Formats: sequence, structure tokens, C-alpha cells
Amino acid sequence: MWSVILSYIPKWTILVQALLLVVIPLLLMALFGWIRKAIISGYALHPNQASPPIKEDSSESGPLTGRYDTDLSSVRAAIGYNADVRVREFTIRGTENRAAIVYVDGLSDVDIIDTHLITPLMIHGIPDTDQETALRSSDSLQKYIANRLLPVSKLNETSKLQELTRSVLIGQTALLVEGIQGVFLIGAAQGKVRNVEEPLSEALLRGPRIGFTEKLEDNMGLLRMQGQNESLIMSQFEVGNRVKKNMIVAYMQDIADPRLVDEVHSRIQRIDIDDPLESGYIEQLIEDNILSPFPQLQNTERPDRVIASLLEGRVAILLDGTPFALILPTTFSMLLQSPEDYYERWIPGSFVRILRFLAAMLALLAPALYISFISFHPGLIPTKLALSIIETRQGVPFPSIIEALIMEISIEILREAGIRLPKPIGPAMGIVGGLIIGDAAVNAGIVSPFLVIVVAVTAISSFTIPVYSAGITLRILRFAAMLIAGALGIYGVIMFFLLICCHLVRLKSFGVPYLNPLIPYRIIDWKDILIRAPLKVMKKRPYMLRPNDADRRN
Amino acid sequence: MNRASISAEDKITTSQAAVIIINYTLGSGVLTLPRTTVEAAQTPDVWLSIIISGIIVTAAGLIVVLLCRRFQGKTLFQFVPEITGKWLAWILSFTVITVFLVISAVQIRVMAEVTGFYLLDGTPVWAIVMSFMWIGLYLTLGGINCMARIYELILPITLIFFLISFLLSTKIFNIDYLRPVLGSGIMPVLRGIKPALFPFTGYEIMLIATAYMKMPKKAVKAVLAGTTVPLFIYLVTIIMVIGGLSIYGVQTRTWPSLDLLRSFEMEGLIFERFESLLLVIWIMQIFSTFTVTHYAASLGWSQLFNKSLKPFLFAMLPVIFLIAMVPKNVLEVFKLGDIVGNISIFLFGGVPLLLLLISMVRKKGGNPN
Amino acid sequence: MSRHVRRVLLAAASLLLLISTGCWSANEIEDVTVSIGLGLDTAKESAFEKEINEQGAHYPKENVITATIQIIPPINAKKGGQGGGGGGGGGGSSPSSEKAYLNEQLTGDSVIQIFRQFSLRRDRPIIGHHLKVIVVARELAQKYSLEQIFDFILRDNEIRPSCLVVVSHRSALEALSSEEPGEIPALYLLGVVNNRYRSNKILPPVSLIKLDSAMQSGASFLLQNVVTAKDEHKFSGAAIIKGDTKRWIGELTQYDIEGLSWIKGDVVGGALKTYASRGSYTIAYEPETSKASIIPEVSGDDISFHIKIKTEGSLIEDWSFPEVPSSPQYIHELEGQFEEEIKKQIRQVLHKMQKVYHVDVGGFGEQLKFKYPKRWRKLKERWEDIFSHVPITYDVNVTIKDVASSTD
Repeated sequence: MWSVILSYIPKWTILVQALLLVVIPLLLMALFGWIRKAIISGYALHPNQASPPIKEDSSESGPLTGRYDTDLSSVRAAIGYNADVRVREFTIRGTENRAAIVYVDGLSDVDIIDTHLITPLMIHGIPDTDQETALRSSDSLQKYIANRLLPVSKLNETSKLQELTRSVLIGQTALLVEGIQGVFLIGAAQGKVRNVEEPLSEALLRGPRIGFTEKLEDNMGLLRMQGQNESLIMSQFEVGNRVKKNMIVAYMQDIADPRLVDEVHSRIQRIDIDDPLESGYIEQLIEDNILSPFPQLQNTERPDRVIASLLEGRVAILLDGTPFALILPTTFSMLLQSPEDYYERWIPGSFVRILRFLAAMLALLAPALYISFISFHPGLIPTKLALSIIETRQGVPFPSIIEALIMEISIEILREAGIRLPKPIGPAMGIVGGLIIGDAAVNAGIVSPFLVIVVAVTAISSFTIPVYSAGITLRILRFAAMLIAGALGIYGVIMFFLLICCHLVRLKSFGVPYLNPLIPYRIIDWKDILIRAPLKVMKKRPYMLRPNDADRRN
Repeated sequence: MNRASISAEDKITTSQAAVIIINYTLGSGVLTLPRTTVEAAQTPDVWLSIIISGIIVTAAGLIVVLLCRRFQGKTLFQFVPEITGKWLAWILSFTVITVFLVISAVQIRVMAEVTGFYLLDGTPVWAIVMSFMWIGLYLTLGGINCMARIYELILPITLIFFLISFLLSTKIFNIDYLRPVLGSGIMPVLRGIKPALFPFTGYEIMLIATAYMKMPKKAVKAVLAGTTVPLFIYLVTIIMVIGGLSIYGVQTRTWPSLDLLRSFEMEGLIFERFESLLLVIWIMQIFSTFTVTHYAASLGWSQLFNKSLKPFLFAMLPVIFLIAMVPKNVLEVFKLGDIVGNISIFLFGGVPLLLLLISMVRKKGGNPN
Repeated sequence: MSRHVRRVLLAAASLLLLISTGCWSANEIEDVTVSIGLGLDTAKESAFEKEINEQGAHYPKENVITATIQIIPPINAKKGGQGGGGGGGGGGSSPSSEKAYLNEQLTGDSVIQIFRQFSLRRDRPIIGHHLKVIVVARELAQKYSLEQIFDFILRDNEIRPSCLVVVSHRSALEALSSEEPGEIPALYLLGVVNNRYRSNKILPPVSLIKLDSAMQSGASFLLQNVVTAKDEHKFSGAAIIKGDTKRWIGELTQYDIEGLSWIKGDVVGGALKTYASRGSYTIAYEPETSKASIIPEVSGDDISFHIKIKTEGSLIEDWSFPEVPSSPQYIHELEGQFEEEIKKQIRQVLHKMQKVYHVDVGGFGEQLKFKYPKRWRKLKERWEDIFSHVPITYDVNVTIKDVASSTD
């Protein structure tokens, strides 16, 4: 009796395993918690002091004096040492008041300065009949010049030196006139900008061939042009502690969930960085989960995509200086959608979308499945296939995991090289790399031809992902899948898939679960996941975003 | 109020409740059901036993729902003290938790055995089990809503793969193996009911899940859907397996459903062999059964002691592992499964009815309407 | 070797080690040998084994069984000797470079032990996942019960239950040998089974799982018989396995199989040849559909069967000279001729079943079970004795639908 019971008492190895079973996840959780905390606490250097959306000017250097010579010399002292700051002095015709314009070479619009500033002041001047009214006081002269002599639309006045220098440095032209208290700030930066072009990263066959540019005003214009709607709200924020950049949060007032908009605002206000160079900075500073491999905000160069998202009740963020707008909240299905799905008729649209899902699965799992079948389960593949694989793999010196890693890494390197190389060389590089190296590797007996097929299919599949950042995610995860397949075979692949699923169901983007609307089951929202239902069916906006106005026809 | 109470966010919809029941129900049973029932009944009529047990289970599930609806927003562990008093409630809760733990352990062990036998010959059990349990832990830490979501993700994959693989087995299907209907009378069919009930245990999760439902009134619907789908799957399984292997072939196979798919090859179709499909969905189903029971047991402890859930989720891992490692071989695993099956039939079939009656007599709990 | 290369190799090796500690079950596909056919014979040590044993390399055994494993692809020096060094010298047949397979033979007591014994002889372990055909020699099946022979094979986790089982008239090794270059005998046997739509002389394939269920059910059953001569194979007839002993007791001829296929109503092709009444010229009929129903009749203690066979098809060959135009009358006459032939076949096979071997392999018991389950339960135990004396009547109805492409 006792011996029977005793025989069921687990051995110490089992007990150690049980202990490890609980200790390792505890350690892992502690580690992740620590990393997350370290990242966040390292970032929040001023934990209690939220940087306000528009920073107050803390200028100490006082106002301009109104005396021409003093002011000019103080301007010169402040910024005159810059090689590109130019000061042009002249006299206004008629009153013979001295005047000076201060501008930055290459940034200010010299045309405007010549034709609309210098010409009226130097050539036309203040006619004798008006001199009396104009010269009555500093104010009247200022008013007169502003009203009669400066035919430009962008005209500001200031009396602070700090503001003057700042404005000049971002491209405005300052006009100092003898006898006037303040300073005119004319025009805007006319730095070199790109024309509106077709977006490079998101090419479409059908659809508007227009993409955002680096200039925020132009981008706002593009948005307005695409979505001519009075409820499109674009509220401006200024981010960056040192380099100030304008940022626009755009949404449809009567569609977007106000709580979502509030959440976006509050997160933006917590941004604390010297200079957000690109919208990627913003994305990384406001995303939900730093440790997740999945992008939680979508970036796009296409105004039509932004408008379509706004109409679904999402929010867009545009930043000055980058053509990439951010769309949020992002859900998993968006990563595999392309605007073209909607422009084409619904049957081809759905077909292409299903194809893309398939390609995503292939891109993620194909090499892992190859490894598990070759190294672990030769019994699960068809006999004839097994035989031909055996024959082609004769003499391959590495186990399949090493073999696959070699090929996958080299193809990733190739891809990276192809992006960096100048355009005429890039494709040639791809051909050289892909064809010649692949062929040579097979001939040299380092890899099997079957693997080359798998790797090529994987690579091509990953190019079908319409969102570049999602493609990167899949590429990273592919390596993880390969490693786990190398350890546990197809069981490992299943575990990996489950792990990814677990992660995805736990992930949220701005309060919206990442896997919406796939789950929870809501038939109404399924019209736009795997298949793209006919437009006449898509009458409702996605429920998951809790739109104020659910009816799409409005 | 207390730390174990349900947060407002962690609610589930009616369809999610149904999906939880389905995924919990579908577990290791699919692989062994044909053998256990045929062994007991010795006729091909066991599909009738399956239907009958499906009906019985639905009735039991309805009783559970009726009971739970009297105590809105409370799980079994919270409302039983109101009905029976503290001590009895402790014993009952403890039994329920133990049953959940053992079910969990049996599932894990069966998974490890099958995986070790067919997929990873030679890999140590702990390597198989640990990765599995850790991922399960990662999921359960996310709460019942996350769990419901992943089951919703798994279920369609399961149904599609299942139907594909079993419909392909029509290649070796022979209707004669299912004849004659009721050739040996009704008695063997009745004998087959008991083993057919085991794989149906799953409705009992409603004892806990009802509390999390957004609309507890629709719990009946969830139970109906939650038992119909497994009933359908089991019916297809048993008919295809017996039609493919005959009742004589079924009895000698340890995992008849798996052997059914190993018994034919479709040349020309990419896969040719389809047991990998079944194994894939089956491991996923075991995963869901494991996570549900793991969560339920941990929740039980946390509500008994009125402490937060997280430490118990961690603490239950080694417990389940140790229970899973107790049986020395597959046969003992099956025996353990039978024991816990017997207990759970009584525990989740009889006790809820008793509780319902007592609570009605003592007028405890709110009106179901 | 330069130091640099050595360092790189060291790094690669350590990476490999790191990864391979993780993969307990990993076994690269090219490092295993795929066994595709298995032959089981009564013990007969090969020349190789005898020679080996003379050198003292034997282990205690009683020599019950000789197993032949057919492996592909043969590891001959295909790619400049990378394959692992030619052959390994099969005991049964010497590997020649044109052969697409290799037969390995070993003798021993237990099947599994023989299987594992192969790892002493081959550098690559043999896997059974792709085993397609198992050939059992008649002699072995006569000596031992199939249950004993197949016990390991049914338990194994690698061998799929979909594997085909056939019986060879002579040794299984012969059935698994072929002189045809490039031909793999195991796949060849598998391919012939698929010709059922062309001939009703082939039995429905019996896979391992069907064999298992047949053995468990306790009824007698048939296995396809393979006849070999000069390393060529032919499917001919069937081996009868007695239900209670699970041993080989006799054979049915091709002709019997034809008759049996009419009784079972599973004719999906083939040709029925007989001689025309006028002038005894050859005529042939190609069945397209056939239906058979076995109707058990029970009155009191007496059991009888009636078989109704209906078939439709076309007149496919007619040697009549001078040609007779296909008038309805003539067709009707031929139909009668074919009916007679079918009856003749049935008569013969029934005689063999009832009188010669006393086995029921035509599914009569099953029909009785379907219709009179209670009666069946009483008779089950001694059914084959009863069956030997049961009167069986039959009527055959042949309809010639068309006369193929020619109207003469």
C-alpha cells in the first residue's frame, strides 16, 4: 500500500522542473517590468512637469527700443554673426527714413523682398501728400506702411527682439524702419520644398497619385482638398523642446469618439523631446506597448488613406517636416489593407486581400515549417516530396535551421542593401544577389534548391504587405519562428503561433483591441477584413471605434 | 470592494461565452471518444449515445445557468456560501478547484504524450509542457476577456481544419461499418452514454463565466450554442471514425481519430497526410482547455481567500505540472481522466441542481428575471 | 588549414552546438533512410548473415522471421562520394547503380529487434513513416497468425495505418525485387492496386487499418495475392485468411475473384469474356455498373440467401465471323451468354467458399447481421460451419446498353 503511494511521489527532477516552471516566468515578468520601467523612467526626466502644447516664450532679452540704430545693432549682435543672415539698409523715398531688412539667405523669398518690399518703399515711397498724416507719430507711420506700402499677405508686427530673431531664422523677413516702435515680419519661409509627388513607399495602380510633402501647410491643404468637409478639424500643437515643430491632429468632429481625441491630446502633451525629427518619433513616444513588435500606429504618405481613416472615426497626426502622417488607433487588419482594395471592384478587391493574408502567413511561417518538416517530421510530408528533398539535400553540410538562417539572413542583407543603393544599381544588385548567390550556393552544396524556393517565396510574399513597417514586423517574427521551429519542430511553430495570438489579443492601440474587428465576433464589422464587401453593404462605420455617427452614408 | 471582484472592463459577450464553452469542451476527448464509447457499447450505434449525452449535458448546462442567474455578477465560489453556509461551501469550492486542476493536468499530460509519440519522439516532456504552460500563463494573465478573444481566434481555424480533414476521410468511409442501426437493442446505447458524457464536460465553466457576461440573461443561448457545436463535432468524429475503422478497428487504437487520418493518403493534394492538421487544431484546443481550467482554479483560490488573482495563476502552474506527472503511463492517465470524469459528472451534474433547489427553498439570490 | 578558417569553423560549430542542444528530436531528413516496402518471410538467413555469423557476430535468437526492408533512395556514390559510401551490401540483392532501391535483409525473432538491428548495419537510421507496402509471404502466414506477425507494425508510431498489405505466393523478397531499372517494386505494387477501375480481378486494397479491423472482427477475409516469376510481378487471386486462427488457409484464383466481385457488387471495370453460342467465337463484355444485393431469408431455423445481380455495360469485343449485325435479338442472346458466364463464376467461388475452405468472405454473414441482428448473435460463433451448408440462389441480369463505338 505504502509502496504504491510512494511510487507516485514525484522524483526530485520533477520537483525541480516544477520549481523552474514557476520561477522562470516570474523572472521573465520581473525582467520585462524592469525594462519597461527603465525605459519610461529614463524618458520622463521631468515626471511632474508636463510640457504644455504651446510653450510660453520665456524671453528675457526685453523689447526693442524703437531707436533704429540701437535696434539694428542689437539685431546684428544677436544673429548678425551668422553667415547667412543678411541686412540690407536703404532709405524710404519721400520721408527719407532709414530702413533695414533682415533676412536669411536661401530661406526667405527674395522675390517678395525685391518686388513687394524694396520696390514700394524705395521707388514709390510715401508721396508728399500723405507725408503729413504718415509722419504724425510712430503708430501712424507704422499703420501707413502696413496699409499702403507692403502688398504682402503675411505680415506680422512685433516689438520683441527674441521673436524677431526667431522669426528671421525660420525664414521671415524683418523690416526695421526708423521712427517706428515695432518691427514688421513679412512673408514666410520659402525654403526649397519638394513638389507633390506620387508616394514612393505606397505605390498604387489605381488611386490618386498624390502624396504628402514635407511641408505641413501643403499637407493640410491636401487633406482639405481630399476631404472637403466642414467637420474636418485640424488642431495645431507645437512639439519639441528645442526645435519647435508644428503638429496637426486631424479628425472628423462629428464622427470620431471624443474620448479618443482627448486621449490623443493628453498623450501628445506628454511628449518631451528636443526635436521630433519625423513622425516616427511621435509614434514611438505615444504608442501603448514599447516592447511589442507590432506597429501600433500606422504611417502613410497618402492623403486618401488618411481621409478614409478619418471617415471611419480614426485620428490622424501630421507633423511638419515629414511626409508621413500617423493614423490611430491601428488595428491588425489595417496592416494588410491597401486603399486599392476599395478602388477596385469588390471581387478583385477581396481576392487580393485574401491573397495578402495568405502571403503574410507564408512570410511569417514558411521557413519555420520548412525547418520543422525537414528536421523533425519527415513523416508528415508526401512520400514523393520527401524523396526528392532527400536527393536534393544530399551533401548539404548544415542542419536545416542553419541552412535556412544563412539564406534568410543573406536575403535580408540583400534587401537592406537594395534600399540603400542608388536607384539604377538597386535592381541589378537584387538580381546579382538573388540569382547568382542563390544558384552558386546550391551548386556549392551549401543549401538545397528546395530551400532557395522557400526563401524566395517568403521574400516575395513579404513584399506584398502594403505597410512597410508591418513587413518589418513579420520579418523579425519570422526569425523567432525559425528558431523555435529549430528547437521544437511543428509543435514549436504552433506554440509560436499561439504566443503571437496571445500577444495580439492583449495588445491595444489607444484603447482599441488590436485584433478588432476580427474578434470579438461582430458580423457587421467583418465586412472589411478578409473580404472587402461591396460598398453598398458597408453602410456602417466600424463599431469598434465607437463612432458618434455610425451611418456611413452621412 | 474586494480585490478579487470583477473589473468592469473584463466582461464577455454572449458569443464569447459560447466560444469559451466550446473550446473548453473540445479537448483531449476528440481523440479518444470513439474508442471509449465503442468499448463500452460494443455497437456502432454509439452516435446515438453521443446525441443523448449531448441532450443530457445541455439540460445540466441549463440548470447551471438557472442557478447562476440567481446570483448576478457572482461566481460559484462567491455565491455558494450564501446557499450552503461557509464550511460546506469551502469543501465544495475546494472540490471544484481540485477537479479543475486535475482536468487541466490530464489535458497537459495527454497533450505531452501524443506530441511526444507522434511529433517529437525523444524530446523531454518538460520541454514540451513548459513552453505550453508558459504561453498559457501569458494568456491567463490577460484576464478572461483576452482568453475569450483567443478562443474566438482558434475556433474558426479548428472548425475549418477539422471539417477538411474529416471530410477527406470519406475516402475510406464504409457505411456498412455503421450498420445495423440498433442491431443489439437500446441497452448498449445506454451503456455508451457514460463514456460519451466525459468529453462533454465544459458547460460547468458557466458557473464562473456567467458572472462575467455582459448580458447574463442570454446565458441560456450561450449554453445551447456551447453544447451544439461540440455535439456536432463529436458526431462527425464518431461517424467518420467508425465508418473508417469499423468498431473492431477502433477498439485497438489508442488514438482512433488520429489513426483515422493516418489511414489514408491523398496523393496529389499538397499535404497528402492530414494528421498534422488534426494535431495542430487539437493542440490549440488542449491549449484552450488548459487555460480555462487553469484560470478557473486560480480564480477559485483567489475568491476563496479574497486575494488578487495573479499570484495564484503563478502558483497553480507547478501544482498542475506535478499532478500531470503523477500517472506513470498513458493508461494511468486515462484512468485518472475517468476518475475525474466520474466526479465531475456528479459534481457539475448533480450538485448544481441541488444548489438550485436549496436556493429556491431558502429564497436565496435574486429573481432570475 | 589557416588559423582564420579554423576560427570561423569553431564559431560555427559552437553555434551549431548551441542550437542542436535545443533540438532533441531533430533528425535531418537526409540523414535518415526511408523504408518504403517491408517484406516478411520465414527465416532464411542470407549469405551475408551466414558469413557474418561465422565471424562470431551473432546474437542469441531462434530465427523465426526474415524481414526485408526496401529503402530508397539507395545511397550509392551519387555525388562524388558525399552520400556516405556505397551501399552497405544488402544480403538479399546486390546493389547495382541503375536500381532505384535497395533491399536489406535480416533474420531474427522479433520484428522490432530486426528493425533496430538494421542500425548496426546502416549509418542512417531507418524511418517507417513512408512505408507503403507490406508483403507477407504465404509460407509465413501459414505458419504464424497474422496477429503475431503484425503486432509490432500495428503498435509502431511511425508506420502509418494506410500501408497496403499483400500476400506473396513465393518469398516476399522476390515480390520486392525487380530487374527493371528505375522501378521501385513497392511503389509498383501500390500502383497496380489503383488499376481496379480497369479490372475486377483485383481486390479492393486492404490497408493496415483494414487488416486490423478485419482481424479484430473475427471474420475471415481476403488479402491480395502477388505472384512472381523472373522478378516480374502479377496480381493474381487472393489469399484467404481464416478468421479464428488468422492464418493463411488457401487461395482463390483470379477467376474466383471475378465471381466474388459480382457477388459484392463492386465491379467498376474489367472485361467479361465468354463464347458466343453461335460458333463459339469469343465475345467480351465491359461492365460499367454493377449492383448486387444479398438477401438473407430466415424461416424458422433455416437460413438461405438469394443474390440479385444487375449489371449494365457494353459489348466491347465480338469475334463472330461472319459478323452478326447487332440486332436486339442478337444482343439479348449475348446477354444470356454473359449471364451464364457470371453464374458460372459465382458458382465456382461459392463452391470454394462453402465446400473447399469453409469461409465466408463474401459478406453473407454481414447481410444477415444487418437484417436479423438477433439471429446473428446466436449464430455468430459457428457461422462459418453453418455457412458451409446454407443454400444460396442467385439470378443475374446483364443489360448491354450499347455496342461501344462500332455498330456491327
